[in-house]
Amino acid sequence: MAKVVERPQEKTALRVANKPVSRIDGIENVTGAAKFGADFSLPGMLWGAILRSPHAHARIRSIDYSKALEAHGVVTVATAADFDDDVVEPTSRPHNVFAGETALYLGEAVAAVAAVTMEDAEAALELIEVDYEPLPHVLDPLRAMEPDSPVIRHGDGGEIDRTEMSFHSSVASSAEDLEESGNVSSQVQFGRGDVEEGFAEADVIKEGRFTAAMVHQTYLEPHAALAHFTPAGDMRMWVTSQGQFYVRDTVARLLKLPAHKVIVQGTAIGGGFGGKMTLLAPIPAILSKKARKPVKVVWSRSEELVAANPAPGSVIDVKIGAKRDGTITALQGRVVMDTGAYPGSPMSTATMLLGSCYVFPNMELEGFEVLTNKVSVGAYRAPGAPNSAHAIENVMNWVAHEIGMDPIDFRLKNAIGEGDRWPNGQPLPNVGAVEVLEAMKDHPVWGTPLAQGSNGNPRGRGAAIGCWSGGAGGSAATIKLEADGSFSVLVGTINLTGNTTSIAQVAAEELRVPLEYVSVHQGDTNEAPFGPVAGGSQVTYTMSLSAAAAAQDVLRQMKSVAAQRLGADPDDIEFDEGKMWAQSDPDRYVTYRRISDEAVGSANGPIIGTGHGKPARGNPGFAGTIADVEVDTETGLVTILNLVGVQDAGFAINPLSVKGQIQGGTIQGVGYALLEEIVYDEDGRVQNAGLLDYRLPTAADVPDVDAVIVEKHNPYGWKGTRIVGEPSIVPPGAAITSAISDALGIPLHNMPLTPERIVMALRDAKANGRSNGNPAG
Amino acid sequence: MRRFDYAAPTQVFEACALLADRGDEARVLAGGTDLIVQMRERDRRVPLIVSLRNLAELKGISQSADGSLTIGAMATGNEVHHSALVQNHAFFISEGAELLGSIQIRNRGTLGGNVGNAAPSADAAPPLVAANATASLVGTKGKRDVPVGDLMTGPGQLALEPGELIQSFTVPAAPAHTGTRYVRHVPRREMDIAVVGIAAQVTLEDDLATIKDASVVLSAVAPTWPHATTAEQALRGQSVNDTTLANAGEAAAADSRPISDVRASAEYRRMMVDVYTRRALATAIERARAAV
Repeated sequence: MAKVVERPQEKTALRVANKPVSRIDGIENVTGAAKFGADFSLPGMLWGAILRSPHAHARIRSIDYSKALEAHGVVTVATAADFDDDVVEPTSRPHNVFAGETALYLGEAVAAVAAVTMEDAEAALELIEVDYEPLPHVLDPLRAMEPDSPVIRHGDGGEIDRTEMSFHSSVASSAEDLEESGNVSSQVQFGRGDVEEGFAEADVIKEGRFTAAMVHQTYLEPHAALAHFTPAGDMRMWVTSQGQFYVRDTVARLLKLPAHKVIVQGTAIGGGFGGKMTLLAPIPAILSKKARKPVKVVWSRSEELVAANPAPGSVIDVKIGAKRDGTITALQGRVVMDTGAYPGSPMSTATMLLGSCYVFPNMELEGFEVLTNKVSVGAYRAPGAPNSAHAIENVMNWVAHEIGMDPIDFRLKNAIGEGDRWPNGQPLPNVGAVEVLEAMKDHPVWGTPLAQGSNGNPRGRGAAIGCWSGGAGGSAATIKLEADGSFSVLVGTINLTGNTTSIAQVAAEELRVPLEYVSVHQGDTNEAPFGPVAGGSQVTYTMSLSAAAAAQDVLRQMKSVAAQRLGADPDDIEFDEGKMWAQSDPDRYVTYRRISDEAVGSANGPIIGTGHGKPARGNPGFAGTIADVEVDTETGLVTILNLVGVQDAGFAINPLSVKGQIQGGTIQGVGYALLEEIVYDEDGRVQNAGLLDYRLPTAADVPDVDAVIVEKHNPYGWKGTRIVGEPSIVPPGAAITSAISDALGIPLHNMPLTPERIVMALRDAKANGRSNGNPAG
Repeated sequence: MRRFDYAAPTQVFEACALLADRGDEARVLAGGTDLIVQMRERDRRVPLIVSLRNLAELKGISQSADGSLTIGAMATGNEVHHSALVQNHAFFISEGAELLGSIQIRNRGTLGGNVGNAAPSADAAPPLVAANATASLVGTKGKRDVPVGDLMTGPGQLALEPGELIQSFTVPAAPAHTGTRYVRHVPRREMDIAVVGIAAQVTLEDDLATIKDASVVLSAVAPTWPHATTAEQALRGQSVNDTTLANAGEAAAADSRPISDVRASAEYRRMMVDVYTRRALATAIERARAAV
C-alpha cells in the first residue's frame, strides 16, 4: 500500500478516492469491444496511402501524379501544393504535412492517394513520378555539428514549434533559436557559481560520455484517422490521438476552417506515451476535402518505426566533483541531442534535468539541439529525461563508489528540496526527492545483500532517481444530475491511462455517492468542454480540480433546490449517500432523485454544473528505481532479478492505476536499458522497421515490478495529488545500466546495453587492463 | 494486401501440377506465418497461393518398423514440440520447434514451412540436418529423397524442382548413448530470432567418456545450415573434458561464416558460436549419458 509521508487531516473520511479501483473501461478494452482508431468506418469510405521519400535528403524537382489519378479505384491525390503557403511551417512537423521543395529524411511523406480500396491506393503510389535530386546527408549529430557537414536547413525561417514539448513540461525553457549555425537549431546554457573552483574543492572527480539511442514510444495501436468532409462543410474526424483539441486546431488551421466546423472525436486509444498527437490526421482530412468522401488512413508498424516521431538519441557528457564526506562541489554537463529533421526536441529540458535532483553549488550546463537527416523526434514519456538520468545517475554512483559511501546516502546528503533552485533559477515547491530516497532505503531489496550468481555469473545492484516537471494545463468539466439521482460527467480529455476512472472517483467523492452512480463521457470537440492534451502527466492533476469544481457547482444548485423544498437555508444543507437535509432538522430529507425532478420543473431548470481547473503551478514528481541484475559474461545476457519502482504521487486518487503507471514506466525503462534502439544504415534507412528487430521487452524479460507509492501532499493538487504518468520512466534505465556496471566492475556508457555491447565492453576492459572490479573505472 | 488467387487441392499431384504450371507466380501456403506477413507488411505480390492444408499425406508424426521417425511437413511447431515420439527420438527437434515464434505462431507454423522458408536463422531445421534427416520430396515427376542438409542452397533458396513439394522428413534412429541439444542466442527471452543457433548431436562410446561421433550444425551464421565440420572432426574419438569442448567451440567459430547485420556483428556472432557450441555439446553429452 501507499506510504503516506505527509497529508493534512481530512474533515470526513475518504469513501471512493485513494481506494484501488479497476478501470471502468477495462472490460470493454480486454474483450475487444472498445473501438480504437482503425475500427471506425463510414459508407462510401476511401482508403488513403502515403508515398514516402526514398532518400535521406533530396530536392524534389517535380511531382507528376497524373498516371496515379487514372489508376483503378483512385479518387484523389494530395501533395504539399494542396496547402496554402501561409499555413505551412517548414520547421513544424504538424504544419508541414508533405515535403515541399526538399525531403529531409528517408520516409518523409511526399504525397498521399485516396482510393476505393487499400490495395488500389497502395498500387497507385508506384505510379506517382517524383523527380528527386539527391543531396548530401548527415545522420550522426556530432558529425552534423562539424563545420564541413552537409547543412540540412538553409534558413528556411519559421519559429521552432515547441507546442508538443510544452504539453509535457510547465517549466519555462530558455532555449534560443539559432539561425546561422549550421545544423545546431537551438542552444541553451545554465550556470551557477564557479565550476573551476568547485572542482578544485573536490576530493573526487568522475566523468563520462554517455550515449542513449533513438527509441520509439511503441504504443500498441498504430496511428489511425478517419476524416469525413460533409456536404455541410463540416470536417468530422475520428482520430486516435492524445489531444483531440490539438488535432482540431491543427486541421482547422491547415484547411482554413473555423474551429467549430472541425469536429474531432478522440477514439479509444491504444497508448500514446507522448508520440500520438497530430502526425497523421491532416492527411485523411485533406484527402477527404478533395475527394468529398470519407477517407481513412491506418499506419503499418513499419511506417510507425520509420516515420512517426520517436524519442531522441543523445550524447551527454557529465562531470561531478565531491568531497570525501559526500558533499557535491560541482557539476559540468553538455548535452547534444539529435532532433532529426525538425527542431523542437526536449534538448533544453534534458540539459536542465542534469542539475535538477541535487543541490549543485557550482554548475555549468550547456545543450545543443542538432538537425540530422532522420525522422523528426517527438515526445516520449518525460521527454529527454531518461537520457539525462542515464548520464547523471551513473556518474553519481561512480562518485559514491569512489568515496565509499552508500549511493542512497550520498544522494540523500545532496538531494534537492523545497526552496532549492533548479538550473533555470526556479525555486522548488515541496518536492518528494528525499521521501522517495528514504522509501528506497527502507525497501527490503535494498536491505538484502546480493546472493551469489548462478554458474559463477556476477550480480550487481543499481539505484537511481529522476524527476519530471509535468504539465499543469487549464481544463473544464461539466456534471449533470440525472433523473434518478445519478451523475454524468462530460470531459474533453482523452482516456489515455484510465484517467476517466480517477475523474469518476473524484466526482463520486465530492458528490458523496458510490462510484457506480457516476459515469464519465468523453465528448467530441464540439460537445465537450476543453481539456488539455493527455500528456505531461497532467490529465488527472488538472481534471481532478475541474471535476471537483463541477461537482461543487452541482451541489450548490442542488442545495438551493433542497433548501427550497425543506424550507431551510442553503448554507444549512448537509448531504450524503444521495440525500440532502437541513442540519437543523436532520430527520427530514430530500433524495437526489427528488431534487432532479424538482429542478427540471422549477425556475432553476435541469441541473448542470461547470467546473474549471488549473493547478496553480506544476510540482515536479520524483521517482526512484532499484535494480538487481545477473550478467552472463560469456554472452552478455542480463537477467533482472529485482526491480523496484518508487514514486511520490502526492495523493493517489486510484492507487491501482498509480501502481500500473509505475510498473509501466519502469518496464519501458527496461527497454531503454537493454533492448530498444532504432538503427539506421548509412543511407538513412531504418534497419529494424518491425517489432522483431525493434525489440521491446516481453513479459519473460521483466520480473514483477514492485511498485511503491509515496504520498507527500502537494498543496496545488486536489487533496494533494501530484503528476503521476511520467516520472517512473526516468530512473530505471540509469539504475539497470548502473547495476550491470556494478556486476561487471567496469564503467559502461551506452543505452541500450545489448548483449553484444556488454561482451565487447568486457573484452575491451580486459584488453586495456581495466578489469579491476571498479565500476567507477 | 493485394488480391491473389487461392487453391487448396485435396490431392498432392494436383498441388504439384498447379505449382509446376504457374511457376514463380505461385507460392505454397503451409502455416502462412512468414508468407502472409510478407504479403501484408512488405507488399509482396503473390498471384496464386496453393494451400497445403487439405493434403493428408503431409500430416502426422509416426515411427517406422526400422526405428526411423517420419514427421509430416505440415506438422505444426506445437505438434512437433509436444510429440513424445519426437522427444524420445531426437529431443533437439522438439527443442528447435519450441522456439518458432510464440505459442500462437506454433499452432500454425509448420516444420515444412520452417525448412521451406529457407531462412539461415531457422530454429527447427538445423536439428533435422544434425540428425541426418532426409526430406521426402514429391513432384510432377515422382518422388525422391534428399538429405535436409542438401536441401537449402542459400537464403530463401531450396533445391526443389518446379512443382516439387516437401512431403515429410525422415529421421533415422540414433545409435545408443546419443544425446542432442538445440540452443540459440537471442537478445530477449521470447518472440525472437536466432542470432546464433547450434544443433548438436553426440554419440558416446560404451565408456560414456569418449566421443564416438558428433554432429554440430550452425544456424544464423552462414548462408545455409552447415555442419561445423572442423569442430566435428575435433570431437571424434576425444575424451569428454573442458579442453575438448573448448577446442570444438573454437573450431566451430572458425567454421562459421557470419555476416554483420542489425542483429549482431560477424565478430560477436563468431564469439557466440564458440560459447553456444560448448554449451550445446555439454548438454548433449549429459543427455547421452542419461540415455539408455
